[in-house]
Amino acid sequence: MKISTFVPALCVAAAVSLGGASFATPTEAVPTVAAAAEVGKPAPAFTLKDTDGKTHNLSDFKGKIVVLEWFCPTCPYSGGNGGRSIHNNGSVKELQKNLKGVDSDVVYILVDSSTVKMRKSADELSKQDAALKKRIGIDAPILIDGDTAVAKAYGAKATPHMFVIDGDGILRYHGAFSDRSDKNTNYVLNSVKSIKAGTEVKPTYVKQWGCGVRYK
Amino acid sequence: MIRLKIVEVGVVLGLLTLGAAASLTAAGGPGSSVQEDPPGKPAQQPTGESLVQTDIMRGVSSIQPGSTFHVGVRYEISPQWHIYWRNAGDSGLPPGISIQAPEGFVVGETLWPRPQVFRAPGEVTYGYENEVVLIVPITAPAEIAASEATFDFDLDWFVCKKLCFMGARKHTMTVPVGVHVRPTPDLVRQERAVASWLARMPVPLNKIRSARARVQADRLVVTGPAGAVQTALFYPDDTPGVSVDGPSGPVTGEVSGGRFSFEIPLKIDPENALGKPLRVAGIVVLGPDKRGRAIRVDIPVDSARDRAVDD
Repeated sequence: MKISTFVPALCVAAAVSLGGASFATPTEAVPTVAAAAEVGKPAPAFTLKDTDGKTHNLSDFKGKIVVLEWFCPTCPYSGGNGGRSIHNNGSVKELQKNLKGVDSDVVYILVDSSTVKMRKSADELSKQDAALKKRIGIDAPILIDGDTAVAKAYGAKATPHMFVIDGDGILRYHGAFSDRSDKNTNYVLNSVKSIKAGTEVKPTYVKQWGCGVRYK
Repeated sequence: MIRLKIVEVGVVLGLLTLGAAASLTAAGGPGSSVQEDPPGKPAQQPTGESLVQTDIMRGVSSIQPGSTFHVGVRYEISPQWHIYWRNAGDSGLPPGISIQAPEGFVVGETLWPRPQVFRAPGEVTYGYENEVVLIVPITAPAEIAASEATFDFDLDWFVCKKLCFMGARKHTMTVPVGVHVRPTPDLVRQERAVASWLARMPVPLNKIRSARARVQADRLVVTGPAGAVQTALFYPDDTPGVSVDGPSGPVTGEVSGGRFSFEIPLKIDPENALGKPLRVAGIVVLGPDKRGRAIRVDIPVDSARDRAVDD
């Protein structure tokens, strides 16, 4: 029943966003999609403000493992919308707890690049995320990527789309949050365990799934 | 367990609908979905269930023991919205079909017709608009004691335009066993529809004489007859550990002298195979007609990499 308490805010967002024409047009043309961050290479730097107005640089976390989760407040898999969202079914809280058990210094950050998708300004999105964060108790800063540049630099395609960066700033894993058929296989947790143990991260990529991230 | 989860989703979506109706009254400005409703009708926020209607189409009027028959799962999708192919692409999620069949029946791998390509800034996805029928082959046991067989379907799907919704629905299908049944007009219609969609399914490459596929030096090489069409594209499947080394989305092939050919660089990462055998798969789609011919490619990739593998 907890879910019904935050329904109105989500639906306002949905109503505004639904207004436009179809954005995905069927075509047989060959698409071009920009290259993205690569495993084994330095993760792209970023400077973004969170919903409290605090600025975060990736370089602030040097020496610590950083987990980025691409987030959208209305996505049924990522946001506050329905029982399958990783923020509604306890999956993120469980992951955060397990990560702390492996390494108490792990930094967990949400990035929201859904300004284009939701037709909102960075400011409006920030307010919506702040309200949702409070309502469902998200225990992580939500960074607002208003011009979607960070999503482009990372090649973030879906919400959720996860990125694990080691203490040297190297991208070690990206892709799915967990195995779709086996929630107990969490690729992020496994990656962080391997980084801490100094062993090879495996897998380094599993195809992401969820709502699309639209770029500017 | 699965059933319980689906019921929960249904309840949540129901709540969302109620909340949405209230919110839309306040938020429905120019360009919102409220404007699309006829005057006087209360505003409705879509749900996964309202956007996609589903039904089960019987491919047979009765089941013969030992035979394989086909069942169609039909999705009728609201205009401009889409559901996904088995490889959704950069985002999305394919529809789920879970079938509980009587003991001894074997449910085969779902057959997916040629999808459309959807492009948006930053992503390429594959899926279906308007209407699609996915086909499930089911093989009956050699001996069946019961006079009819009942199948329970649990369907779920992810439907997107720009926003996305999840939907779920259950269906039950009961089919007589062994007896000859005089089909009703509705059954005849269902059988014809299933046969027609079955005829549209991609043809396995090894069923086409003069078509070849192999992996050689980290490249997928595919050639075959193109007929009269001038274009050929390859839509890759999601094969863990093996992906196209290049931008996401379809790969363009060469068409010349009535034949198509592809030489597609592959990225082979055995550490990402998730414990499954390495393989490369996808469909070759010929010509721009979405009902046009498609050819299914699915071949193993040798982890030693350089050994050629014929289909």
